[in-house]
Amino acid sequence: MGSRLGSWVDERLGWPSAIRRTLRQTVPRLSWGHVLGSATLASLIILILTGILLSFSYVPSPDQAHATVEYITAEVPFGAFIRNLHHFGASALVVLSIAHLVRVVVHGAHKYPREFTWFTGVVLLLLVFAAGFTGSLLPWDQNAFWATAVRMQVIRVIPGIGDRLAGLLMGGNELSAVSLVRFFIAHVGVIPALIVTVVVVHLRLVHNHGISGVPDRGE
Amino acid sequence: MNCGSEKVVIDERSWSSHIVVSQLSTAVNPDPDRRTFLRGAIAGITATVATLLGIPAAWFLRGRADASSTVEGWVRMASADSIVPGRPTLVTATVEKQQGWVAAQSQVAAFIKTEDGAHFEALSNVCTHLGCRVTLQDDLVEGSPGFFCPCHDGVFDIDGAVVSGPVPAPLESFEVKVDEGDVFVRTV
Ligand code: FES
Repeated sequence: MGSRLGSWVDERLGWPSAIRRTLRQTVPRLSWGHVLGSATLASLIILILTGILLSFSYVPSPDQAHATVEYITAEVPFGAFIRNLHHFGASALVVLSIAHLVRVVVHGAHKYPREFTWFTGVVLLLLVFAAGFTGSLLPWDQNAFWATAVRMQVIRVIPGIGDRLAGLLMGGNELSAVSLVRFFIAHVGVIPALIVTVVVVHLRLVHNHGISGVPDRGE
Repeated sequence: MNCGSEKVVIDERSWSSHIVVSQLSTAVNPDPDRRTFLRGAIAGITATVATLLGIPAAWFLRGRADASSTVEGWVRMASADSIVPGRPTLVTATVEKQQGWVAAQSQVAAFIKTEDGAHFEALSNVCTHLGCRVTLQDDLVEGSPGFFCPCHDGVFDIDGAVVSGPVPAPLESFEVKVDEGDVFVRTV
């Protein structure tokens, strides 16, 4: 019965055999460092889930943004838990991404034939920074506002395009209601969509090449 | 134990992810306990994490659904002298109520009537059919005034009792008190 259902689904979707192939995959010698990629993915999933929850009670408008964050933290059941999970999960994502990158370099796993996997990984790291950058403005408290104001000054220093880039990000010459909406949409829409897309490519490539093991002496 | 490099033969027609794992563990794995343990551990950890996230998530989404959205307590509606004896008067008051993170202004309305200027009654102006606002009209119920709902021609008499139309119940009445010459109504 189970096997009939299994093959019915498999013939149409190919999922069970994909799982089976993964389960039967031959893996080389691995180290505990190899879990960092999966750990990064796990924190990304937690961030997406908690982020969806938070967005149910958040309004990206200067007169309400901070009140909604206070409301989430103080009033909504488990609000502080969900918010903190998102907050510290974001830090974890950055730390784990970098640790994953270091592990890959140490094992030389970024070299032929995995250059493109490495390239998508670097793009993902930049996207993670962008998500952290845009997300940190959203609580709209003094810390969020002034930290972002300083980062905007940093962006202005970029030769040639600095001023224009800062103006594009803020939707004007200063941090305002316009900037808050831009940062919000970048944080909850544009950047997550890009991250998920590139993660799919990244994982697909990992799967295609197989996992690169711990190199032996002289390799 | 190097099980990955051994050749695994499985009948292609009869399998689910479940069966493969168990076939693998019995057919090839020299150490079935380890595989069973790992499988259980993965399932257990996944279930624990899902619960630890799922329960807070459900409560979070439910939010403050249990919080009453009506205005609680006594609301000052009018001074007692402004109510003309014998004829219901529609009075409104603005109250502030907390809606999530917003302190919203909300209107409370009631028909207040008195016969002697000392004892007061208050009737809701919300039709009990589908919630339209009723108006006081002269000559409505056999020559005397009553409340008329324009939406589906609902008619109530001066005490709020049902006269005709699709209305299922009399107009709601509120608790009233007079304090230092002011009329208060309790809307809960
Ligand atoms: S709403 Fe008043 S009669 Fe239908």
